[in-house]
Amino acid sequence: MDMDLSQYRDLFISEAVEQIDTINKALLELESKPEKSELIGEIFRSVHTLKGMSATMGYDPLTDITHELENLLDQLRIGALPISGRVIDLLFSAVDTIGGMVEEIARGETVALDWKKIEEVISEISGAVEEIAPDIADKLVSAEGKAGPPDARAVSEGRAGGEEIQLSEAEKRRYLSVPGTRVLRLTVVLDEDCVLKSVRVFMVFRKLAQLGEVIFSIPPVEELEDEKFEREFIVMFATQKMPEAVQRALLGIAEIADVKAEKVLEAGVTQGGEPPEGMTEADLGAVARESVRKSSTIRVNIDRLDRLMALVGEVIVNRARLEEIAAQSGIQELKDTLDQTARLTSELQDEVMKMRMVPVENVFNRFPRMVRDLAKKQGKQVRFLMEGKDIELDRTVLDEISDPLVHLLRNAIDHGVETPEEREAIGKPPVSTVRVSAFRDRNYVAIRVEDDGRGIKASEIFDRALAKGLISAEQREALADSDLLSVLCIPGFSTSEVADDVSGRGVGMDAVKNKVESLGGSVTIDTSPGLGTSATLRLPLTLAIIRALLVGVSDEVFAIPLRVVEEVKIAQPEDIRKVGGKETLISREKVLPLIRLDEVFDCRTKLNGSEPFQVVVIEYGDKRIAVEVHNLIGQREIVVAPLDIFLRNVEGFSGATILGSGRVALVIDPASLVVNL
Amino acid sequence: MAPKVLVVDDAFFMRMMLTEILTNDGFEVVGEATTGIEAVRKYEELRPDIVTMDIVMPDMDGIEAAKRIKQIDPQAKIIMCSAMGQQPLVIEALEAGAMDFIIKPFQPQKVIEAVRKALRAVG
Repeated sequence: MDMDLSQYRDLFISEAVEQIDTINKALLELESKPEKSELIGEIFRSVHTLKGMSATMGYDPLTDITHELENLLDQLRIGALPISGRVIDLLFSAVDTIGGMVEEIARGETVALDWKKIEEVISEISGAVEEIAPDIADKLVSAEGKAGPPDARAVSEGRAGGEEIQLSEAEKRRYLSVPGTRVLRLTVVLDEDCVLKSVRVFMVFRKLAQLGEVIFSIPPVEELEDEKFEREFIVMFATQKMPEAVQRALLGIAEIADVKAEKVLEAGVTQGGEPPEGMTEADLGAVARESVRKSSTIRVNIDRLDRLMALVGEVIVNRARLEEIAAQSGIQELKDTLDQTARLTSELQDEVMKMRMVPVENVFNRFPRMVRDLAKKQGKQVRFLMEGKDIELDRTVLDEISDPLVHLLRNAIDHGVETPEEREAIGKPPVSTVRVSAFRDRNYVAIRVEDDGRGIKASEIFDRALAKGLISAEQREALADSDLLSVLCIPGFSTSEVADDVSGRGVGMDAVKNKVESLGGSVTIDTSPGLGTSATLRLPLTLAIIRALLVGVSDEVFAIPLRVVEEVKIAQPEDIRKVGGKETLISREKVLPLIRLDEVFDCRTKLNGSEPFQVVVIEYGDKRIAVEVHNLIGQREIVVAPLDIFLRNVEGFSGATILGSGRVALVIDPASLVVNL
Repeated sequence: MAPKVLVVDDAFFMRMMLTEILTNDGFEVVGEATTGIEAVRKYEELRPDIVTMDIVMPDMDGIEAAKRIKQIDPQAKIIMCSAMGQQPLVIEALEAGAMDFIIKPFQPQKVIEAVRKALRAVG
């Protein structure tokens, strides 16, 4: 039977990642509480599980490294090896290597494994074992050697090495003195691919002990225990059983390929003797009846949830269509039924949404480890706090947000936090605080990364941007402190003078901002020189179904995500001012850039310039714009479908939706409207 | 009637594998357990014909669980699931009453062989 392992790959990866998380968490705790020995047990279990899984999938490098790691942990567990800083570092780096390997597997690069690095880690682990406890190898051997069939221990020397099998006269006399006893020469052959041969030997001897008495074996039992034989061994065996019965009994053990039983000697009369199978009555009372936490979750492939979400979306679209028909038909019964259906579909939608929600903890979990490493590397002391780990976000949003958060944390530790010396010199406590917190903010989830480091001086940033030629001297003059984020987000801007492996990986604030905005979120930054910096990401709870404002422009219908709509108002033609050749609208004493959608999207204009007109004020990031529309259709819940691959590069739209009437409306991407200002 | 199997392993992945191997060969996996304690409880509840038991698990390891199951039912048939390099543990488990063992990575035919042979033998 062949098994297709590829179908298990995703499962393997997700479970492996969980195990790695567990290990990292336990390691972090172990670092601060080395006396907590149960943590070693926990780590050992996870490593062990990983090993078994990797071996099953045939990921040999992973199997090897986890195997070595297991040996090291075993030494820690039995106390042969003290838990030192060096050992912890070694464990961390081994886990990193494992994590890296799992990531590569996840990317499908099974061949690209860095063998050299793996071998380094392995040799480092085994080196550590040897160096700190040189007698460990011996111990391991003797521990495995304890696996011995007791009956066979007394086998005399001198029968080894293929020598002709002979019983001494004394032995013959002894066995033949018992009536019915036969001496059998058993040839036992193990399966070719048998692993743990010594344990099979043990099982053979154990079975034989129930059936009679082992006289000796070739090779001697010590060598069998050490697996110093190929596939075959011979046992001289005294029994009252029939040779066939012994043969059958041994063949009943797994991985025994063949057993030959030849009668060497037989005493007079046969007596049927049953082997003593002394089983005691079960002591039911002694069994622990501890209640166990019942697992009430199942794993579902994310694709299935996506599919479910899409189906619910289609139901909602159909519902809207039915509602329109019902309204036209005037049949009350139909309307009532539809009201119920509406309630049910909303509930259904809610449930599906909830299913897709995962706690931010899933992403946060990897941060403590990262912060520790970064801080250690740079000689900084950081107290790392995480808050609101149970806040939930849509799975797709959360997946996307991980890298931006990592970047913000790196920034905080790299650029924000000072060294202990610097901090003490300015009267700050030497240990800095970095905090990641998640909280609900209306229909958004906000995630904030804060530090109490040196803060950012806007003017310095501006000067640097000028020096790098990213902005012109005039632009520099016009900048105010509030423009800090925009400048930080200019592509190519990095405050790090030297590129190291921490920052300078080519991901800048611009990447963070782009990513967050593409998810329909926004970034704000707040900094006080000398006191610290905080960056806040505001993210929509979910992406797939949004509330939108439907607007008409000429004959077209567009959807504007409601979350960016600040207000809708009637504007008068006299509120329009031309500034630098561009139209602006005076609204509440503010000057807003005015965008006419019919121009942007090139649809026919039907307004003359002299009438009042409707504008939608959009707030996006730190920008506000006024968008002229021809008519307002209303608020709807829409299911956003991504644009087809051929249309994906069309600027201005983030997706499309089907309206209740069956007509398609494009969803306006506010980012693209703002970007061209 | 298909022989009933209880699969015990703390890794979901491993349970899936074993279940597939066993089911493909006509066995019925009647239950799964993720810890030793759960294994003992499920054994009492389900009374399977055979148990595949991982050794290293949280809460209660497989050897202890095997011992307790043997106390409840001396006829219980338990096959240990082990990784390479666990000879002493496997022996301990066999001494505790386990009938056989299978080694990770699991080879389907070995799993089936061990389970079949154990089912035929006297517990």
